[in-house]
Amino acid sequence: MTTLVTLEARRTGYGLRQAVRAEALKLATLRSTLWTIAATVLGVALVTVLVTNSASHHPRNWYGGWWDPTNEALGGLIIATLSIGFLGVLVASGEYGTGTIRSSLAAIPRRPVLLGAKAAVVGGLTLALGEVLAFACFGIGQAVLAAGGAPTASLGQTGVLRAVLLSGVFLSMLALLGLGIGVVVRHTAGALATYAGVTFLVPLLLSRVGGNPGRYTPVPLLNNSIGAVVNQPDQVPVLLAVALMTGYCAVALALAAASILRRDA
Amino acid sequence: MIVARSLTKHYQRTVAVRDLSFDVRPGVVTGFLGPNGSGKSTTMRMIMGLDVPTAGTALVHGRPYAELEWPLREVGALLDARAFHPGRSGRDHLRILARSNDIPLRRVDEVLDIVGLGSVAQQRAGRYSLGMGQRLGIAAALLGDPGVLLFDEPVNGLDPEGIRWVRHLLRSLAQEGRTVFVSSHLIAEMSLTAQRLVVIGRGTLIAETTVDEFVSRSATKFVRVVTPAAAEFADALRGTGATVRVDDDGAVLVDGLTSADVGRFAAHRDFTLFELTPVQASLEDAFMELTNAAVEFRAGEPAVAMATSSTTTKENA
Repeated sequence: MTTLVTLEARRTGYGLRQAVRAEALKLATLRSTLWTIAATVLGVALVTVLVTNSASHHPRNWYGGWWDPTNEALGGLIIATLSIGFLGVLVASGEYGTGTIRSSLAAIPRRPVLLGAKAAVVGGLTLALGEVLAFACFGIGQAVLAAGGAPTASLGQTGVLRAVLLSGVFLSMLALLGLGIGVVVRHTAGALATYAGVTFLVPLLLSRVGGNPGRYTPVPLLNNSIGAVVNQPDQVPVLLAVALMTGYCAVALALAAASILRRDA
Repeated sequence: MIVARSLTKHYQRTVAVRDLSFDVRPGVVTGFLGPNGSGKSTTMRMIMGLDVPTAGTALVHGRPYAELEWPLREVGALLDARAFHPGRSGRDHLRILARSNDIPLRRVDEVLDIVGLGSVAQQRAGRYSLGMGQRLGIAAALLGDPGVLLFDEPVNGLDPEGIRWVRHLLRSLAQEGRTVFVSSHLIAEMSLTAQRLVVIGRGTLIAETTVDEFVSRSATKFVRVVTPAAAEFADALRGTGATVRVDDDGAVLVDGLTSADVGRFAAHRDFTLFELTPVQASLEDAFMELTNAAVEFRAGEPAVAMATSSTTTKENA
């Protein structure tokens, strides 16, 4: 391992730094990136207002054991679980679909470097976006709940800051999941469908099975465990939820690495 | 310098490239000639490390492409005209490539001017015509000022002025001492551009030679004679043992004699000649002759599968 590291350090020529700079410019020079981000921000804000406004009109729920104003507000992130995942998918499938991948690999022929740079840029951008969204959701949600007279939460309360912060992290992990799917599936339509199927259809189908194994899939993990402070039905312990999501990402990126290394471009 | 050794590529049951070895030298334009589907693009993708060879190696500057330190500064390639995102401007496409290999930004505008895209550089590349896309691909190839250049069908989609421009560009790049490897199925174009040739058919090497040598090797070389007494002249020539045909338009075509021999013979026998022309085979004739049997998709013949093709191709090679 030490030899590997020193070899890499001694190597002249391009490396992850150049690849990351190029990947960042790729995202910045596509209008679709800006549109996706803008649509996500607006969609999340809108859904947050709708969800919390509806909750603020059902006072009967406020004093049951399950009332969780943090979780109500973060419910608006459901829109982002789809659009941020799509962003990850498109970073890969957009290149395969247009043939840009051949330009990219001509410039960065060591494929793990290219995949690593994509993961770093997608992960970094969506982490920042995810945190902004999570905190915005929380703020907007509490304001709407307060206006409706419902009990609210504050970041200082136990578990609230953790729920908000980890929700942002989770969104960027969903983008990495999408990136992995995009590299493996290559076709944009197929990759988007696969992502939507894995995140939305699979939990729906599994929820009909005994014991509801659907709760261990990414989006329910975010909704019911990561973004929850008060115990929710179908809740999975937070540590397990983080471990599972990390595992899903690792599997998706490992499959992507195997695919990009073994298959012709 | 590009060196291919025993390059082989199988796709499921078909063989795209079989045991292909050749060298591409610096200082000259080397044409890569073969019918459609003969494995030219596959070979170029293997040189670029995009496709992994089933067997054999392709080396650039003595190394596999993936081990180059600054790939775009050592090798420039136009592999397909549309290897860019339609939503990005031509200039942004080049800026991204420049960043990936630490190429200074001013070089982006330089190559845009070289290929004549300066005025449309800010437009989305999806709006470019096929020819403009081709020029953007050429700009990307030139970006790192590389010593080795690969062009796959570079004149596709270009207008006559663009074709002349590419011809000049390729020659001047070679004159600067660079290695220039250009594939084409357009034989006439190759005869105007290339000095050396790598000719393949059905994925196997048919010839690796100079254009001149390739043409002169061809058997289709004859002397065309126009005379008012065609039939008598043909008969008289046949008496000397020459192979003679009479063309549809009445011209006598003589094989196996030089034009000097034919002229002296005519003078000696008092034949009046209106025309005496040595006819050199064109590169196209030579190519057709050599690849005739090696053409992948002849009418009525299905693409050949791996199991059956080994014997047929060996015969042709």
